[in-house]
Amino acid sequence: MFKNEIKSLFRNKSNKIYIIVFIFLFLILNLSLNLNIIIDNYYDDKMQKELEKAIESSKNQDTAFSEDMSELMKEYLTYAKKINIEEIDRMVRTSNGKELTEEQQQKIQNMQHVESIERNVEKIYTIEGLSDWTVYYILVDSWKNCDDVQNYLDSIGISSYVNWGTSAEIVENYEKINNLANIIKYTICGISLLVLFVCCNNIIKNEKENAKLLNVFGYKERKIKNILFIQLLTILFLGACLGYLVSQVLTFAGSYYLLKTSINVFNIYNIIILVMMILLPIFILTRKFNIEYKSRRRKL
Amino acid sequence: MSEIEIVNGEKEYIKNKEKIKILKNLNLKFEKGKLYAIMGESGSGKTTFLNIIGTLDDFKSGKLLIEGKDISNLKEDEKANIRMRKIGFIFQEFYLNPNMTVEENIEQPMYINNQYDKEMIKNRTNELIETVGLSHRKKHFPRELSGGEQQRVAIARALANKPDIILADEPTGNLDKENETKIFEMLKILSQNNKCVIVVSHSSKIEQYADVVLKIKEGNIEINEIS
Repeated sequence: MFKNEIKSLFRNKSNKIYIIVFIFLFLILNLSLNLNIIIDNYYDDKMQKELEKAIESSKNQDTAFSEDMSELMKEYLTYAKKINIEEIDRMVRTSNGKELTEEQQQKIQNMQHVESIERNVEKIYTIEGLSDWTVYYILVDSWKNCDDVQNYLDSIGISSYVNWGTSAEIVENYEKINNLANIIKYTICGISLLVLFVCCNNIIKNEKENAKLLNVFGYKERKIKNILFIQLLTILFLGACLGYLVSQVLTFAGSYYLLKTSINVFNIYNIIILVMMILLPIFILTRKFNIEYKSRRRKL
Repeated sequence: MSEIEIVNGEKEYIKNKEKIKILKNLNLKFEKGKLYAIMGESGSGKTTFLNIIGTLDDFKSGKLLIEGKDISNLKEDEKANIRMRKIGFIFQEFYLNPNMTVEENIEQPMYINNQYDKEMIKNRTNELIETVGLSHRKKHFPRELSGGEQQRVAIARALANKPDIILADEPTGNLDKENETKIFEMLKILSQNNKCVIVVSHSSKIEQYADVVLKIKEGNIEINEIS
């Protein structure tokens, strides 16, 4: 029975149009829900470039520091640039390949304030100076956490310098755009939900004549609603899957920044979309809706 | 025992704030093996009467008995069950699912009935398609058929669950004379095969095929048995 019903569903021209609408809707919904991540990726990339510029310029300018300090900074900047933060064991080596002494390694591990920061920030790596100067170069996992780390260091009386050179403007822009993205995200989510609701309602309306016929043939109302639920879910699910696929294709097609991380199937946003997909038809079908084949005239 | 029995059936409507008694104190019996023609002017209550017999509407007062069982006070789900097993419907507008083929349309009530397995449904469908002479059209969609062919599909669909009662509401209303004759002949054959066939029609031609003609006039029914 369901097989014939589903077949007839896909033969309906208007349902084909709704599937296309849902593809775009789910693509937009997926992108908007991941808008902050998309923006983060874009700015991460931009900041990376700025950092590279800063490192380059710090190699050439030594006016702010003494010669030794400048050398050390260069060494650490170069070192920080080289290290792979995924490989923590490399942190115990110096830039010229010499291993730190056990005492030095122990000292790094015992840095109380750094440990405290570690609880607040996901990853912080430290390098202790190997000369008379003691410099802590703190690599924060994300430039967005620099403010927090700096505030923390301020609060425990350690002065710090955020090395992002000319990128302060970018940080300011990032905050503005991120706030705007939040507004856009929730607006798009609202509009998408509304469009989704209207489309689902129309699909049900289109199927109403057939539902009335099923009622004449003796199908109980609950069973008819089950059929409509499965039909609606099929269209929604197909639209969502194809929408997801289109976003994948777009990623490979070159919109690298835009879709870089927005299409992780198992992220919380996609789970929200999935739950919403199931809840929406249930909500539409639980509303009172007449499928009885009755005379249009008013009864007494 | 009569297939259908109506005891003191009454039906009222409100039209322009005025109560209109459309069916007055009806006492009727319908039997198997006969073709009943219900005639009357537009708005006389023919379709309402047919809908009540088909359990799609209710009398305001009175009883409707199908195979001796009073169904007036049954719940909607129980009425749906009776419709599924005992009644076949044929409509003026055919009401075929436009997105299903001829055979899928005929299969539909059998899947709903849930009493046949897949193979039985296939066999019964082929048998019905052959009966209405549409074997060459079974993979076609309703839009690819003529009005007469569509109505023949609707008849096959009405017969799918082997009902004892066939209710036809203006089955030839959208058809030409030639197809009208074919459809009436088919309905006559059904009644001769021990079915209770009740046809609402404007066409006077039905009187040639009917065993009993019921004329609704101002809420009353005038019965005319044709020998």
